[in-house]
Amino acid sequence: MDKVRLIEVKEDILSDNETKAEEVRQRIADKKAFLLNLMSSPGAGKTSTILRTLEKIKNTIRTGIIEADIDSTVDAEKVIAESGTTAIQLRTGGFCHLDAAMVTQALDALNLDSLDLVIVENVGNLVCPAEFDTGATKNAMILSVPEGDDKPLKYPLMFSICDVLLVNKIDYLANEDFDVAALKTRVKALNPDIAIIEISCKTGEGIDTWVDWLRGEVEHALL
Amino acid sequence: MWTFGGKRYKQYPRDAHRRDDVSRVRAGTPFFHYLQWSSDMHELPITQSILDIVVKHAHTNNVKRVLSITLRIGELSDLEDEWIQKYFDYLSKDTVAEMAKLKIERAPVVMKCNGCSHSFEAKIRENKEIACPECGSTKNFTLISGREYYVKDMEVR
Repeated sequence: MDKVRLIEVKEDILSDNETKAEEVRQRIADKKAFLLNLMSSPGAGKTSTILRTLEKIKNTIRTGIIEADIDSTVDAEKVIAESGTTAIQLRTGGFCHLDAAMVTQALDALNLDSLDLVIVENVGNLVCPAEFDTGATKNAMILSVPEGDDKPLKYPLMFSICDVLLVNKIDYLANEDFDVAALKTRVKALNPDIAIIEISCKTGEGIDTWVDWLRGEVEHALL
Repeated sequence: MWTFGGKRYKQYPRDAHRRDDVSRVRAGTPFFHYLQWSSDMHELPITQSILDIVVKHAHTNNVKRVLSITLRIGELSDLEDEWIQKYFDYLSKDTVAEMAKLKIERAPVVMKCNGCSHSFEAKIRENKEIACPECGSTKNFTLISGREYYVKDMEVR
C-alpha cells in the first residue's frame, strides 16, 4: 500500500475567471469605454434604475445594456421598448451569476466602437455575483429599503466589492424602520471608499446625483 | 466550462436531463442537480473548479487516489459546506478524486486600522459596530484578509 502524503496546492479556485475578467477590463479600457456591473436582490430595482438612468443619459452617453435575467426576456424588451438603447439578453439558463466568459460573449455582440457605456444587469442575487468578477470597470449594487438595513451583515462580500451603493425606494423610508445611518456605518466599515447614494426610482429623488457619478466615471474612462 | 459525457459546455445544459450525451446527469439523479442549479447557489461551478485543480495536481504528482482536500475560504464568502461535498461527490465520480473528503478551513476577516496601524479580527456578521480594539476608531479600516478562496493542500496516496 502506498503511503499517504500531503501535496501542497495553494491554487486559487476562481483564477480562471479572474484572468478572463482582466481581459475584459483591458478590452473595455482599450475602447475608452466604461463597463458597469449592476447587482442587487430580485426586485430591488435594477431594471427601473437602468430605465431612469437612460432617460437622463440617452442623448449624451452612447449606452449598451447586457441583461442577465434568469430565463426571461421581459427585462430586455422593456428596456429596448422604452428607450431605444442597444440591449443584449443573455440567457443564463438558470445560472445564478454572470462570469467574465459570459460577459465576453455579450460584448462580442455589441459594437464597442460606438459605445461609451455598457451596463451589465447581473442576475438578481447578493451571493454569487459578488464572487465572480465580470471584468467590469466598476461594480454597483442596489439595496432597496424594504430589504432592511441589516443586509451588510448577511452579505458582507457584496458590500465590500462594490464601488457604489444605491439605496433605492427611499420613498418607503417613512413606513419602515430602516436606519440609513446604521447602514452607512456598517458598509463604510467594510468598504471605506464606497459611494452611497440614496435614490427613488418612483419619485426620481437622487437620480441626478447617481447620474452625475456615472457621468463622471464615463468621462474619466474617455481620458 | 462544464464537461459531461466527454463533451464540454460553456453553460450547464438546460435540457441536460433529456440529452443522450449528458450521461452523468441521466445516470445520476435526474432533475436533482438541475433543480439545485436554479437556486441561489454557486457551489456547482466552484466545485468544478476545485475538481479541475485537484485532478491537475494529482496527475503531475502521480497520485493513485486523493483522500482529502483542504480548502481555505475567507469568512467574507458564502459557501455551503454540505452542498459543496454533495456536488463534489457527484462531479468526481470516476476520477482520481472520487470519494475524497473536503475539509474547509475558514480564514477570519482581518482588518487594519488606518489610524493606528493595528490589525484585528473583525466579526463582520455580528450586529455591532466594528471598532479597533487598540484605539477605538470605528472607521477607516483596510481589509487585510477574509477573501481567501483557494485549494490549500490534499492528502493523497
